[in-house]
Amino acid sequence: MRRGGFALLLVLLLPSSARGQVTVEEDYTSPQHFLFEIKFGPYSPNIDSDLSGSDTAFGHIFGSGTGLMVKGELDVEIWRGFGTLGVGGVFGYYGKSAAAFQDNSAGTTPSTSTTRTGSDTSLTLLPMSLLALYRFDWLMQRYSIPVVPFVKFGVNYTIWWINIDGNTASVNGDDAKGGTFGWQFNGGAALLLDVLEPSAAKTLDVELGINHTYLFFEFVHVSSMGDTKLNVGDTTWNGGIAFEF
Amino acid sequence: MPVLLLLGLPCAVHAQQIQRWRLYRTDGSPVLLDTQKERDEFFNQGNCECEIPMALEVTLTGDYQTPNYKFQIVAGQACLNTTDSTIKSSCTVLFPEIRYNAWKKATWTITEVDGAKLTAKVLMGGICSSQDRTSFDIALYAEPAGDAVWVQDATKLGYTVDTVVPAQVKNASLKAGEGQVTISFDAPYSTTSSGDAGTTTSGETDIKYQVLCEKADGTTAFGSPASAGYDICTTESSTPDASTAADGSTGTAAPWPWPKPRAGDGGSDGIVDGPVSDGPVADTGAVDAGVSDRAVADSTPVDGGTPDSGTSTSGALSLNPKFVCSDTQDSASSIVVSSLTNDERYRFYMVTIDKARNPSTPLLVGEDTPVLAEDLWERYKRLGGTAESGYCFVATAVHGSYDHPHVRVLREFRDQVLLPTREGRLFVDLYYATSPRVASWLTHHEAARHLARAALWPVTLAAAAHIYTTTWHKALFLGSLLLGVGFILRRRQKSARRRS
Repeated sequence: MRRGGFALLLVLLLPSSARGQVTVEEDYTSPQHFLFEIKFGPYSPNIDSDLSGSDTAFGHIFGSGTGLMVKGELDVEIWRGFGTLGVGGVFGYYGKSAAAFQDNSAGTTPSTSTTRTGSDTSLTLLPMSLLALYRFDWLMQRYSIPVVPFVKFGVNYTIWWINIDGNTASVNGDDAKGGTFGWQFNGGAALLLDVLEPSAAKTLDVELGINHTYLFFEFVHVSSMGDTKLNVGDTTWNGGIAFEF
Repeated sequence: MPVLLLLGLPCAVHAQQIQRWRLYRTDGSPVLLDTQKERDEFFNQGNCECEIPMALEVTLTGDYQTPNYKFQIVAGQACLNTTDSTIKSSCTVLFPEIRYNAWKKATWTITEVDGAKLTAKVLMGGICSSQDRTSFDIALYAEPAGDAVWVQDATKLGYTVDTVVPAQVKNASLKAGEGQVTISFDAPYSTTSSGDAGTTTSGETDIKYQVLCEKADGTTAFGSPASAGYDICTTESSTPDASTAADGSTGTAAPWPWPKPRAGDGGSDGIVDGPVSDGPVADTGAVDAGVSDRAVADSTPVDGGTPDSGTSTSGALSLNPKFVCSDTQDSASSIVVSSLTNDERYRFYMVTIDKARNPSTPLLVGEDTPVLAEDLWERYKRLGGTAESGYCFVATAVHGSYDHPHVRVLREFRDQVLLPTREGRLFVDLYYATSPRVASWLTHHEAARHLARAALWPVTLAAAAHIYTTTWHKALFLGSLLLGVGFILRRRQKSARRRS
């Protein structure tokens, strides 16, 4: 069933005029320099780790549930040999909103109200990363083992802002928007999908120049730096699909 | 039978006859109103206060220069008296007389004289959506001999007045926030699946929604809408027609979109009956300089709505724009009424407005009180969060002063060009987030500061050029630049050819 579905996906990706009339040379492979990933994963920024005590801000308003982080990554493969070395750029988006609690405090202490209001407060993150990466695809190339482990390490910068009813939140003139530097580590494995439908994968390579297609899963640790910057890091995971071309 | 005879006479008794006549709407490009549907839509969107330009084209045949030949255009039903061939007083003469519930002005304009034909256009103003008629015929009558004997000289062009009041919204509810209240509701009609997204099963099209509100103690009307209802005109007719209408009412115009108050109206349609004090709402105090604008408590029960906290009133506000506290909205979901005062109790109503600008009876949704809300940033700060948002300009560091002319230019560029756009705001956010470190470093490195100042020159110049020049200036500059580049490229091409 899955093989059939994947074949259908590949066929749909092809131009209609190309279907059924492709003649593929056995040893032909298109040039390979890039890898594009689209990935998703749960995310819950460690904002509350900035706070001392048991009271929370993010957890209090948004609860324990995580939000969805969506990321796109473009890697440039700069060396291919015993594996692949490259650099990658990542852009992402994360947004979470909830009804704000009624403010029953005197203005300086946290509210103790448990009544939600009709006002929405939201947090938006736009993470950007620059990563060095290594993909151990030698076994895949040499022995056709369809699993490619990889690691990535680099710096990130996350633009963030907090809104209340669509306007930037502000406390004593300090608007809730800024950026946080940090570092991050990714490690995971990618499953080569080509093995499921080799002929379709070959056609994809010949017609569109997509050398390989992967499903992957990765562990991610994002750490924020600076005592006066909002801690937007998290330790989480991503899953997605990657196209090597 | 006498009527039929009379209608058959015109061709025989005068030398000219109307070969054709057509109505156009002229708000913008002329649009022919040939079909019943087009006329219905056009006339129902007119109102007493706005002058909506309309043109009438009449094409005559025969001796149109006969001096005594006259026209008049009359709206009504069966307008010709069969006894004396005069126009019935129950009909509205659109031209040449100007009457209440009639066209505001009429000016003949001869647009074409072609042999034996004369084509003329008459510009007319808006017509009131009469509440007591459901259909009109616009007929063109002629007086061939100047003897006050009128004959209908053309086919009638009819239209139907939409007097059907749209239904109220369903399941309306309130939720108070900080300085605002959100009214959630469902559409009164379900949309057909025919593919016409604006058509409802009731036949009403393009329903809009609007919120009315007032302070719950009734002391203050509320409302400064950016727009009220369907294309409301911003200026009333400069020459309001105060002549007496056929039904004897006077021409005192009520602000649109709310219908004119009519004496003796039982309030069944939600139209104000004048000051009242017998409803649980109305007795809370006068509104607007001592004159209560509330209607009798005649609104239909809240249809699935949930009036808040013990509000049992069923009274409705008068349909008056001064109570309007939201823009109109096309889709049914929710409307946010903002700029409210926290801890002040307000009462909210909802109206639906159909394409013919008929408002529904206001639906009392309930009362609610905006309250302070604690957002994430406030809570974070109150719990001791130390994160800051950096605000430091590289340009300030480079030029040494926030008020340096170059810094002012860049600030203006930020405010006028960048901040109005989403992408620009993103850039500014990114800049604000990164610039403090750069600026801090620059203040400690004199040489780098000089270099940065030089690098900022072209940026400042470009920003100044953008904000201090007109589009023509920019086009001229760009054109000159392209010409110059083209000239240089051409010379280089020629020189390369010569070398080869």
